Amino acid sequence: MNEHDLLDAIGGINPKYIKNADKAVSKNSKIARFRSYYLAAAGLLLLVVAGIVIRNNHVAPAYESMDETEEVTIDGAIPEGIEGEVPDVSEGSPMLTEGTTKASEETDGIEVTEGSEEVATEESLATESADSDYPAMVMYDGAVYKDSGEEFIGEILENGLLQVSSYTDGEPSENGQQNFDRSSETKFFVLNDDAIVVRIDPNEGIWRIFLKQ
Amino acid sequence: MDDSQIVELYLSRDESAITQTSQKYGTKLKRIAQNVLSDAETSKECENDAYLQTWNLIPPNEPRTYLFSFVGKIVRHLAIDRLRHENRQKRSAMYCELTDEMQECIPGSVDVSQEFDAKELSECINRFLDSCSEEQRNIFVRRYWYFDSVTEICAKYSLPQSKVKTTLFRMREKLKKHLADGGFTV
Repeated sequence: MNEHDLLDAIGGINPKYIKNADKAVSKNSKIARFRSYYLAAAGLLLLVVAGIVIRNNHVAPAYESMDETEEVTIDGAIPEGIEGEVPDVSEGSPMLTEGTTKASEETDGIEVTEGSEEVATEESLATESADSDYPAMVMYDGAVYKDSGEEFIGEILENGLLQVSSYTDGEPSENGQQNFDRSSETKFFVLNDDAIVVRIDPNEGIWRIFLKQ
Repeated sequence: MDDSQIVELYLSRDESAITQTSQKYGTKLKRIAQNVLSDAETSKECENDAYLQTWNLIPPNEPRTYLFSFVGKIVRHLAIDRLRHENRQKRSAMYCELTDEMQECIPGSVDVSQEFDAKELSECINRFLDSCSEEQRNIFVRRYWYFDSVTEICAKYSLPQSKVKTTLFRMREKLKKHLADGGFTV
C-alpha cells in the first residue's frame, strides 16, 4: 500500500459523506443569525437596565423608613419595652429582630404578614439556589463540559447538532446528561476536542461555549 | 431535474441525460479535475470522459440517490490517472502536497509493498470517517475527495486556517492508527 492507493481508496468513500461535505454554508443565514444575536443582546441589556431601575425604586424607600424609625439602634438590638412583647403587626411597627437593614426592608410600607411571606420566599429561593449550586454542565463522550460563560458567535453547525438525553440535579454522570434543562430539549454541537457549543436558550437562540473539564 | 429522473434518462438510453448531468453538476465536476490537474483544458476533457464513462456504467448501475458522487468518483479517478500517466515528471503542486499528506497516514515503512484489497481499504476508511465528528469528516472529505485547498475549506465552513490544518493533521494521525488496527500494516 502506498499514498496513491490510499488516495484512490478515498475515492470510494460513502456517497453520503460526499453529499454532506458539499452542502454550502449559507451566508444569508449567517447574517440573519448575527442579527438575531444583536437583537437578543439588546433585549438582554434592556432587561438588565429595567431590573436595576426597579431594584433601586424598591430599595430607596427602605432607607427612608429606616431614617424615620427611631427605635432602630446601631447594632439592631431591640429597644427596651418592646422585648418580650407580642409584636405589633400594624403598619409602621417593625419587627426588629435582626440587623437594621433587614428590619427596615421588612417595614417598608408592607404589612408584617406580607413581609414575612416575602422573606420566606426569598429564603426558599436562596435554599433552592444553594441546592442547585452547580454550573451548567453537559456530559458528552465521557467528558464533562462546563459553561464558560462565553457566548458563541460563529457558524452553527446545523448538521452536527446533538440533543441532550436526560436531566440531573447534580453533576452529569452519563453521556447526554445535563443539569440545567428539565425538558432535556437542549441541543449542542462539538466545536473541537476541548469544547462544545450549547444552545442554552432556544427562544433567544443563545449559544454558549462549554469547555471540557 | 432530480438525480432519479436523470438516471432514468440514462437507463432509457436518452442522450439528454448527459446534458442534464452537465447542467446540474458540470461546474463542480470540472472543479474537482481542475484541483488536481491545474489545467482548464485537460479538466474539461476529463469531465467529458467522465460523462462517457457514466453513460457506459448506467446501466447496470443505478445511482438514483448519489449521482454526483458517482460521476465525481469517475472524474476524480480520470484526473488522477491522467496526471500519473501523462504528466509523470511534473506533477501538480497540489497533487504532490496531497500525496505527501497521504504518506503520513501509512502505517510502517512506505517502501515495502503490501497486498491489499482496495475495497477493504475503502471500507476501512469509511469506518474511520464514521468514527469522526461531522465537522472533521467534512473537512477530510473536502480535502482528500474534492481536493480543495485549506484556504477553500476555511472559506466554505467559515473556520480559521489553524483549525482546519490542525484537524487535518489529527485526522491523518488517527487514520494511520486506524489503518494499522485494521491490519493495513507493512
